[in-house]
Amino acid sequence: MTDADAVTRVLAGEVDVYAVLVERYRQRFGRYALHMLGNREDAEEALQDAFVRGFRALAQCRDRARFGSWLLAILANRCRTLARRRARSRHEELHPEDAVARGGDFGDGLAWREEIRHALGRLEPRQREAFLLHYVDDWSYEEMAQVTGASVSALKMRAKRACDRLRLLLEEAF
Amino acid sequence: MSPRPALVRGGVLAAMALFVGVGHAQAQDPRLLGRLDSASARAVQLQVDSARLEGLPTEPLIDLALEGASKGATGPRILAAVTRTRTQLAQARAALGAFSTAEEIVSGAYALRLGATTDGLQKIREQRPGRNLGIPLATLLDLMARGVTPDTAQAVLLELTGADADDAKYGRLLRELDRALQEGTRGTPSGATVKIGRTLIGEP
Amino acid sequence: MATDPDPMIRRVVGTLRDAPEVDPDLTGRVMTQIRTAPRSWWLAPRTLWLTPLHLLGVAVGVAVLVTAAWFAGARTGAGTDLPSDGARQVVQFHLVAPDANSVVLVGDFNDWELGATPLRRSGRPGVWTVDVSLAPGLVKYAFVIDGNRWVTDPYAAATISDEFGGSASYLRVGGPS
Repeated sequence: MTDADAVTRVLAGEVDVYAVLVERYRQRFGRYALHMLGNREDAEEALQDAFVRGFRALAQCRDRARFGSWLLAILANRCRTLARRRARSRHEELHPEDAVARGGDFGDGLAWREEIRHALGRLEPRQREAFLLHYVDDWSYEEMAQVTGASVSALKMRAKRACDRLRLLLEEAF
Repeated sequence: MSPRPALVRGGVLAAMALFVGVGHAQAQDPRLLGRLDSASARAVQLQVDSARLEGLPTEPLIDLALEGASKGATGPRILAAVTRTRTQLAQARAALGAFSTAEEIVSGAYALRLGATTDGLQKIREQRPGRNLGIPLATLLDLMARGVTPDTAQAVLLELTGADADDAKYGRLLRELDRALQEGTRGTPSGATVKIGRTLIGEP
Repeated sequence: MATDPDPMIRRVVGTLRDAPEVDPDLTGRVMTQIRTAPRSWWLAPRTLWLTPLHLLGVAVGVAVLVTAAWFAGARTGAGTDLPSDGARQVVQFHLVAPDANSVVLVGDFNDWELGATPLRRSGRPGVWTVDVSLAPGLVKYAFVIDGNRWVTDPYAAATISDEFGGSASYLRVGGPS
């Protein structure tokens, strides 16, 4: 079932079909929220909130085939709102259980993961957002422009600055 | 009056009755009669008979009418659906060639319904003349049903058939697309399909 | 992946891509929250494709979701071994519908007759099942709950619009898998 089909069916009254969309995007968007917010509880709160808002506003999703990027815009907003509310120090807390959630050592080591989390947290939020969307989640700059409302050139600049800063922070660490 | 004209008349009448009787027995599929009102059943039967005369598969048309009947669709709506599908079967057969199998024609018709073009179907046939297109057409259909755009699906299919890919590669294309969709594909189903297709073609 | 020649960045991205799994119960929580929406939403006019058994359907839907994780591997579908000789295959269909009183399977193979292929309750709670012998080819089908609620197979890889304003699932018996 395509996104467009699912959205059409939900709007026609088949509420339970929305679960297909939740399942489809849960992991990928959850990853984005986790890296944006730095901890699992906040990420899941933002994610759940975004899905529910997405459902309630579903009639406003104009291009049903692009439900994913429409929902991502909602999630990105939730993450920004939540981040502003939380103390900045949350980012610097260490959550070792997340780092070993997959139950194995991937050769990167716990220390390396914690350093990345720490470095991400020290990025300016819009740079972090651009970096995650483009490099980790593979969105094109054009799609990101629709999601964030920023121009393509501004997004490229933010992503580049994020890379530069991460490089600096991580080279310091090792 | 001699008995001959009466006999002749009687014989002609009997022959006509036989002819009409036989014709009538062929005309009405009992399944349609049981489930549609008689006017709709007759109209659908006409479509089915025309399709049969053209050498098109008829079972999909009957299945469609029965599906509509079970779903409570009106007679006119059922007839419209059957007519549309018959047209698509004919178009698929024209694009794929008169010697296409029923399976090829049915898959082709579904593909047209989902947005494939007769041009695309024709090109696929040209890539593999004389060989069964069952698997490539089924793959085309399955790709579009999973959200790949028709243009991309046709293009990737043409690349695979053009590269003389063996049957197993079509199955792998679908399996790997399904895996990508489950894991949260990067980008769109179309993008993922293009990438997977290229990898498969690149393999020996 | 968006390319950056810097190996450090590539390493960072690789690590970040490998994120822990989001809580599978999140889907259930989202759907529960949606169902307990303020009353005014439910009164808002919109086209309902379903019968008044809609609420039953929502309950069914939640049940479907909650078991989604451990059901993910068990789905209807075509056989994975391709028969080359047109042999029929037995395909198992199932549907999670704990509040249903009856579930039937309808499709091309049984002339869409509502009485022809009932599902039976399986050993697992809320799960209905039936085995059907199918000839190779494309098979369109759907489930009907309690005689009048039509649902497609939530775990079919392919659902297409039917010609009557709704949808149908399809599977391929003996095709590419």
